[in-house]
Amino acid sequence: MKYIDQYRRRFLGTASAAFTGLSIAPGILLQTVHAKAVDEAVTSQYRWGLLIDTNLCDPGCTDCVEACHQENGIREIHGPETDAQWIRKVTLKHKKTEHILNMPVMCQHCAEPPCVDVCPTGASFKRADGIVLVDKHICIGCRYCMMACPYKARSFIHEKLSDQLPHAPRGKGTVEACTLCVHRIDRGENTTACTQACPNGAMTFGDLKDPQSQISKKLAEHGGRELRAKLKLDTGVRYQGISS
Amino acid sequence: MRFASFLFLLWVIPLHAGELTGPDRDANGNIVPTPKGEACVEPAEVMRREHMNLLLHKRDQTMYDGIRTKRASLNECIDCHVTPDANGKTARADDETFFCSSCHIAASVSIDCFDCHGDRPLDMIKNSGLQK
Amino acid sequence: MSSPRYQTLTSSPAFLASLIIGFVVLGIAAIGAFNMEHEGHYITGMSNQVVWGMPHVLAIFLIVSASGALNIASIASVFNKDFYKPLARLSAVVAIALLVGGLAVILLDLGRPDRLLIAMTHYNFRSIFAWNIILYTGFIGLAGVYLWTMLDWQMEQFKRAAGIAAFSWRLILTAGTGSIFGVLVAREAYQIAIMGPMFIVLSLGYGQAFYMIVIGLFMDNKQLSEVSKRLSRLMGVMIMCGLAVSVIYHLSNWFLFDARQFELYLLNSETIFPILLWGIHPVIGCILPIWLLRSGSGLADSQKLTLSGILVIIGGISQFYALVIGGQSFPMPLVEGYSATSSFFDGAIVSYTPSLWELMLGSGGFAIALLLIVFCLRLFRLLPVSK
Repeated sequence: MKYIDQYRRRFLGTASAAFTGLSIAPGILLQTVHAKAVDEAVTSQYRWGLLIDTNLCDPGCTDCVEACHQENGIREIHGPETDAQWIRKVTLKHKKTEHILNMPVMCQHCAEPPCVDVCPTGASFKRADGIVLVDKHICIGCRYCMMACPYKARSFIHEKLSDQLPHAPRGKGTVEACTLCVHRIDRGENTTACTQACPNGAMTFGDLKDPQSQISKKLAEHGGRELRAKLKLDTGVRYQGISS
Repeated sequence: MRFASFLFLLWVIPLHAGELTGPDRDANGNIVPTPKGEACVEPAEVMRREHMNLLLHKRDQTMYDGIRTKRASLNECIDCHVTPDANGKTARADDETFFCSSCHIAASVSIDCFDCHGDRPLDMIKNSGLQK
Repeated sequence: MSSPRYQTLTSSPAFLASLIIGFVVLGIAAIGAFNMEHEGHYITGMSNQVVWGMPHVLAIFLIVSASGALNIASIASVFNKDFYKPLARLSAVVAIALLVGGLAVILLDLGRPDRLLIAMTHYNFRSIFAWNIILYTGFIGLAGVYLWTMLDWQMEQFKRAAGIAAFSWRLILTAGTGSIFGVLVAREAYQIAIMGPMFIVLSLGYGQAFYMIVIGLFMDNKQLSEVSKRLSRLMGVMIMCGLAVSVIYHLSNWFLFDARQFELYLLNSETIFPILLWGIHPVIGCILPIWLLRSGSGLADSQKLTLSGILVIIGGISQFYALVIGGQSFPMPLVEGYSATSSFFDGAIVSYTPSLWELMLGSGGFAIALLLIVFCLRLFRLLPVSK
């Protein structure tokens, strides 16, 4: 334990140094350093989200899906019934006007996530910055979260995997979903693989709590709709261009 | 009697032949894979006793607080301790020659880290053509 | 009324046959469970769409039945009906055995059954599932204590208290099991207002069905003839209550919760569900056993009780299958007013066919329950001796 304490002290030292820095020159740091330092814990100062403009989403284009699966090492194995899909392209057709919409659907990173409420062990959790994740170390694979998710966002791993990517551990018998590219966010990158891959810029990633962020500005201007808003889950992923 | 000892030798020699030609072994006959780099994050004595605590502590920090520093990160362990042989291949998690398994098999302590974590560095996965 | 006398089970053909069948099925289940655990769930019919399959149908059925099986004992000690007192001991044993069987199936179907310890040490108290883990273990404990007060004359004074505790606990347990589905706001099939009460009512008939099979197999004919008529009548009432609450469930889905598309899917589509819900459950699971128990049709009491118990169970499993599988295979709406299609089966009705492996695993729950019951019958004086 001694060594952990040493480690903790060193970490606290760095953290307090960073804090001192903040208090000495708040004006400079707060504006330029948007993301956290690598050894700082995430805080509820941020809430990460996505805004998807369905008008800009091309039918048939799956660039976001491919980029996500490339980024996180998700490969085709036993077919669409059992393979993981962290993000999928959904085609919507209006029942009366037959108007067609296209959009990617992934974990909506709810502020009130049903998956977190139902998880018996607490493996499903929401990080301070609003990202909903699965702690696969304590996931027992009961799939109750999959029953509870209104967006079918989660996948169960149906077979033994190998050669998982270092930043995206995944394994047989546990449940997983879109992580909002949490490894990128922790590195301070202000984007996700899907956002970056979209050829039309239909996706905007950003901090919903920062009124100056691009995503907040776009939301303020045109609004954004939650999927299944009646459930009042306060999703972190919003959609534009869906008329009722 | 002679035939029996012949049989015994037939049985014993292959058992120990690996010790002459195979990977490095310590005084107890356990395999000791060679890491790259000069030193671990802590002295070997400390790592032998404390690696699981360091890893567990880091695991929860990464999982819940998003702290992805290199120290005590399983990915860093793998980068150093999973090294390719002359043919460019690495031992896999189930192999006796895999760094973690070399002790864990001998000590009969099963670990499930590699059910979810990849057992070789990113470069190796990329070289295998599984990942761009 | 003089105090009843009890005996242990002798090595009857029924006992030996139960042992053999129990162990054979248990072995088959072990192969199924091991293979599912080793290969992963892709070898089952379960998928990312239908995430709970046949093992859950059977396990939930066993768990619900377990709480109902305690009913005979509750009538005796909570409601003080002398007639049921000799039958009470066995009722507690059947309840515990069914619960253990059901839990074993749920556990072995987990993605990581090796992490049982985590399930026991990490609790999320907002999760109804976590509460159920506590309710199940508590039930086994309470029913065990209750059984003890019935077996040991020195404990006699605590019998009523233990009986009331176990009875209250079982009501909460069954409502809790129903609420596992009830809290799923995302899915139209499950509404909290009805799932809990419905499970409680259904448990009465299904639990007693198992109880009747056990006494039909192991109780001597003279004793059976004394109890069969009253048990038959009670069973008839329980079956009708179960059927009534099922009708209420579908009616409330239709009129109160506006889940009409889903009800049409269950009751009028080219799937297996209309067959289960119009045919197997009401006809084979309700009408046929009631007719069998009333008219007799020339069968011996033991045959009547066993056979009608089996029919009720077949009906019950069909009903749970429609509820669990039907509820998952029907698509959830993504955006109101729009129909959806995708590579992930959005907007599509998904098919589910249980694989042999999961049927093998599921049958293990019944084998465990059977073996536990015959072991207890052999070890303890549970069967009343006719006077």
